[in-house]
Amino acid sequence: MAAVELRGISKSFIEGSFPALKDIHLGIPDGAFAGILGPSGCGKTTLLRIVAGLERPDAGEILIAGQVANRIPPRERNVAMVFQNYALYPHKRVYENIAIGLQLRGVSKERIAEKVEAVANMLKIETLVDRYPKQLSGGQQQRVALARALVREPEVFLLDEPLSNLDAQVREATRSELKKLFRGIKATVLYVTHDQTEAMMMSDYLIVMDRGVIRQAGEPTHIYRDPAHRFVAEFIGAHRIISVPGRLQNGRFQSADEAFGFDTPMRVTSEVLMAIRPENLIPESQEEIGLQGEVVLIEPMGPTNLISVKVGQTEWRMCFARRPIEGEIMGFSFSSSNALFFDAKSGLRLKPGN
Amino acid sequence: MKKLIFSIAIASILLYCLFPFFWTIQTALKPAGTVFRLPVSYLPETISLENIIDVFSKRPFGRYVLNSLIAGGGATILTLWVAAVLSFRLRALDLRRALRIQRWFLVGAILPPALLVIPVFVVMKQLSLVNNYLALILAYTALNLPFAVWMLHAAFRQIPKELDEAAVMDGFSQSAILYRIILPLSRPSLAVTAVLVFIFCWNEFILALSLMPAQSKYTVPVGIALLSGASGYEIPWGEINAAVALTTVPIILVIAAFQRWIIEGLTTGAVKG
Ligand SMILES: Nc1ncnc2c1ncn2[C@@H]1O[C@H](COP(=O)(O)OP(=O)(O)OP(=O)(O)O)[C@@H](O)[C@H]1O
Ligand SMILES: [Mg+2]
Repeated sequence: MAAVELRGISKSFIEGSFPALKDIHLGIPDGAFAGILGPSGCGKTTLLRIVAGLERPDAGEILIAGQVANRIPPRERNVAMVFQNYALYPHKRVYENIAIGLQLRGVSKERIAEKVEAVANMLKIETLVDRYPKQLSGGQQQRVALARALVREPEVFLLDEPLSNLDAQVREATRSELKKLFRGIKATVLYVTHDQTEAMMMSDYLIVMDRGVIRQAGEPTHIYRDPAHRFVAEFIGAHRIISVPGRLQNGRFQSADEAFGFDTPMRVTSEVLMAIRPENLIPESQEEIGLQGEVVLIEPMGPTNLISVKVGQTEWRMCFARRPIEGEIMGFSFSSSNALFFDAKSGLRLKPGN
Repeated sequence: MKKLIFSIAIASILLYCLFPFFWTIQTALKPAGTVFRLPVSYLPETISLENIIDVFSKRPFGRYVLNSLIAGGGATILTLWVAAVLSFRLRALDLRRALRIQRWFLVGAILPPALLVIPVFVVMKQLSLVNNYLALILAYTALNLPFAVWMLHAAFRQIPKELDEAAVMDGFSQSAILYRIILPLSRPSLAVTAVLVFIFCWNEFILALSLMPAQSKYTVPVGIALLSGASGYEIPWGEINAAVALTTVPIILVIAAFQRWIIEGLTTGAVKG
């Protein structure tokens, strides 16, 4: 177990081009399951590779268990990585794939056999140890890759989208198993994903990245309730957040399309984006702020329906058990305390205090 | 109908390619006196091993074969090893730089060996390596290296970099990655390269003739070319053909031994594993 800390890490692959990582500061507590979430190309893999030592940062320090690790070669960092495509040795049997790291570290044969067996049992691959990776399904290969990392008992695990190649069902089952597994061994885990549900469900500590910077890091529910940046608000959440461009002035928000306005405790004057989560809209009710519009789209989701209602220029999405008909005029409402405001230019969150 | 035409076409091509080979073998198996008898007989009436026994008993043909095996085998192993190390380094570079470097190797491959005979001979003389197997081994390695690097670099590039990185995390050293991961995974390409390099060495004539002038150091092609009869006017066709037929045996054995890998090598890349 070890805490991982990054201080001012920067990395560009091609000189002068857009950096893959820009001045990253990050502290992951000892034993935390840290999810790293972000869209494709935002630098998640690069971040992991820098912690692993496979990539050198242009600037900044990496601390593992309080020790500066920049100059420690990967094999001595006591870090194990599970690659996005598993990277199993195709010419070696599953047993050897798992055992080789221990063999190279001079562990005795009997001890290796014991450990491999224990890990294989834990991951339910004990019947597969004589096969070659080619003879395994994607899910089985993923377990072998995990076993290869687990058997070394490293202080830090780096997992790069380990579930991305699995189909939805296996994925969901494996997700829960993984969380239990890592809770059991109390290791520090950096878990990369671009699936926000996965990140929310699994992480103790969530890091949201966008184009080489960390937009927000912290407890997942906190990030969900209190996003620090427009990007975070849009990226996190079961349904896409609704955002309405407009203007804040004299404590009042007025939408740009003049469709509605309401009083807020906000004191700033600025062009803003008002955002509200679909789950905070209450259909067919007239509470604090009530709006009315035409139903333009109905997406059935089993127990509920996702309804899009058009008011002015904006489509408001909300979950509703009743299934209206398209074209129907429908009312809904929300509370101004659930409205989030972001600066239109910088995307930063605006709060009543400032 | 199409099938029939195809079969006939294949058969005629095979006949065209293999007839000289057949002729060599059947001449080799004719009794010494009957080689030039007219009318031409396409199948020997009596099979005689006389010619084959003669090349071994009357001439040091066994010695030539041994020389060829040492020079060719040595050169093949050295070529593969050097090419593997070079290709592994090239693979670590980004593709465009690697190809730029590789192009310089190819300049070497364009030169025909005959052009190199005199400079190579002078160098080997200076190193007093004339009549030493090392002279041929070094010369053959230099000549085959561009081709071998070309083959192995292409093969190594097929192996995903993540595999090396996983190996680094597992604690492999760089050389262990080459010998224990890259090479085993490139077996088919290694086999194809080895066979082709070996065939080149086995057939090469002009360098072998000039770098190994002592008769005890003749390689097979040199030995066959210089097989002479009792007088300058007599050419021992029967023995020459026996020798030529025998020469192909090791090649056939090598190809047979590697056949599975060669076919694998020719078809990999077609399907992703
Ligand atoms: N070896 C490299 N050479 C040049 N550019 C690179 C290299 N590796 C990554 N990049 C660039 O750095 C940026 C971040 O890449 P990275 O692989 O970290 O993204 P990611 O968040 O893991 O994306 P994904 O979710 O698609 O895996 C991308 O713009 C990518 O093009
Ligand atoms: Mg990635």
